[in-house]
Amino acid sequence: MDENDLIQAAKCGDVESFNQLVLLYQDTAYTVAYRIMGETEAAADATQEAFISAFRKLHQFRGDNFKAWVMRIVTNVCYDELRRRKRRPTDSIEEMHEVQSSADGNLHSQQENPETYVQRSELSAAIQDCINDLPDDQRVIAVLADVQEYPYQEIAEITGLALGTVKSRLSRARGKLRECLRGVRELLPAEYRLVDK
Amino acid sequence: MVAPHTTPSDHDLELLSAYLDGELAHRERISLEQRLDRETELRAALDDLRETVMIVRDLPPLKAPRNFTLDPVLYRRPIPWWQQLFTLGNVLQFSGAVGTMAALLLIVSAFMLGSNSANDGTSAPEAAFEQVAEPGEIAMFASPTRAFEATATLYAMNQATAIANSNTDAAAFDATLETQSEIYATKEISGTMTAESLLFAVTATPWPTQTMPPRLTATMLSTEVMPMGAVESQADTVGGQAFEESTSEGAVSFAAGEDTADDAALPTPQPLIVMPSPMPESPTMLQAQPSASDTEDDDTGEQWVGTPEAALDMADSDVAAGDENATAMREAQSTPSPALKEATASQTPTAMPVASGIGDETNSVGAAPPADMTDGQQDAEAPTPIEPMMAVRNANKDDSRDYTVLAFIGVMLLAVSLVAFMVGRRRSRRA
Repeated sequence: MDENDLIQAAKCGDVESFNQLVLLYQDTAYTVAYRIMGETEAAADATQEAFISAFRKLHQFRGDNFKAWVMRIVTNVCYDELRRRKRRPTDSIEEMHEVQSSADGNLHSQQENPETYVQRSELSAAIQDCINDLPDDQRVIAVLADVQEYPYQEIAEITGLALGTVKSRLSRARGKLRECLRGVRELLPAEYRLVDK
Repeated sequence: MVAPHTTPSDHDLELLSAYLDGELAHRERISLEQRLDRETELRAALDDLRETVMIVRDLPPLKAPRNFTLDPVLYRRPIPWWQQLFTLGNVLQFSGAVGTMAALLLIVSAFMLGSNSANDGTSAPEAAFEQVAEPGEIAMFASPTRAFEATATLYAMNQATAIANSNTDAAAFDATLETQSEIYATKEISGTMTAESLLFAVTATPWPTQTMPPRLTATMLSTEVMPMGAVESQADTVGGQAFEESTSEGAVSFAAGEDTADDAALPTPQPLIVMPSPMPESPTMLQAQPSASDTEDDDTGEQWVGTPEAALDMADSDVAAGDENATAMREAQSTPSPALKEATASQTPTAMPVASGIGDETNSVGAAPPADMTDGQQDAEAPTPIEPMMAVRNANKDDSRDYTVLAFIGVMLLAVSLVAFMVGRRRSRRA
């Protein structure tokens, strides 16, 4: 069964068909959730909640891009969770860093040697640390624009912000990321270091 | 190493960020590109920003720590109530229940109607007759002229129906006629009655209703109304001439009612044989009967009741009654008397049958016997209730057959409905 057949079957209440769609897009969804949330458990919870919400709202799906539809749900769930946390802050920064370190272990590939894996893991952890250092409102927009590559208009619709606000927040987020990445420049690959010249 | 350079303003960084994403308007993009050509610091900031964006975008995708599949038991989508209502099991259950009730109603109705029909079997034709011939109508029929008018009207209303039903009812009529002829031939009727005379009175009686089939009524004639010279019931005493006189003169004389019309009480038509169909195979009889207008024109008030030709035609077709009476009738038919010829010639033959018992008092069945009648005549005159057993039996047989079919259909419907109900119930429980 192709994706459309699975979607139609899931619309009829076939959970097994929907689970096949989940298996197709769960890594991408988790990645987005992790980039936004910055911690493993929160990202996993957000991903699970996003898939549950997608299954319940599947009858509302009218488009032809199921992946984008699911990613938007994931983004909304993460954004709602961040706003909820902002109202009731409970988690410490240290806990988030511990989670993110463990999550980077999933990047291991059997084709790369251990040295490359370690180097890439350190780079990814450094970049994620820079992302996590962003304020929530800027981090979400930075992830939506640079990780998911959403257009500004769609980001404005997801976040409920004005288009100008999205532009300014994204610009500030990128500026902070640039300053953060200067501190981890020794971890950057050679092609990125060439830019420094 | 990233060279330290002058930091562009926040507005310039916002323009550069949007420029990287292609979100600038055409005019802003042209203006920024002109500045990028002139300002090296701005171009360096653009390269630095592009590098940052590339680093973030090149982040490898993560692997989900676990599967986020849903538990089919927990997340089975609930079926809306209106969909649950129209599931196959519920539909079968509901239709089975409705069908069961309908089948029971059908069966009960069939048995009730059947029992009523059996109880009222003998009275059914009479009731039908009473329904048509109300007392007022009977009184009206006592008048010869009115009788023929009514008969003509009734016949005109039902002639088409009678003709239409002639094919289908021919067999039933023949069977009844034969049986009745046997009864007439074998039954020891008083000497004043003959099979021929009875057959002579067999006329097609139309019934002015669309719901009732045209009926054929055979009226037993009494000795009072029998003409002089009526033949005896014994075959050996019946001669062709005697019957000829009986049929010919009788047809005129007892219809005329000159002797007893004023004395006799109002006759009550009493159908003795109620046929389920008109006389389809005796067209000559039907056609030989006079029209009402012709009868009314007759100054003598002679009323035609039946023609001997028609009766003889019926007698010819009667196999069981192939005795001397039949032979006598054939002879009479072959040599009609002058009186008969006169009677038939004076009346325009039409296709109008005459209701039995309708007409002059003299030919009415059930008329009170005159005081001057002899005992034997009174015995014969008494409205002998020759039970139309065969006709009634046939009618009841048809009705009972219909009710049996109805009950059978009900039983079949009951069986199917019960099966549907049980299957639907099982499916509902399983669901």
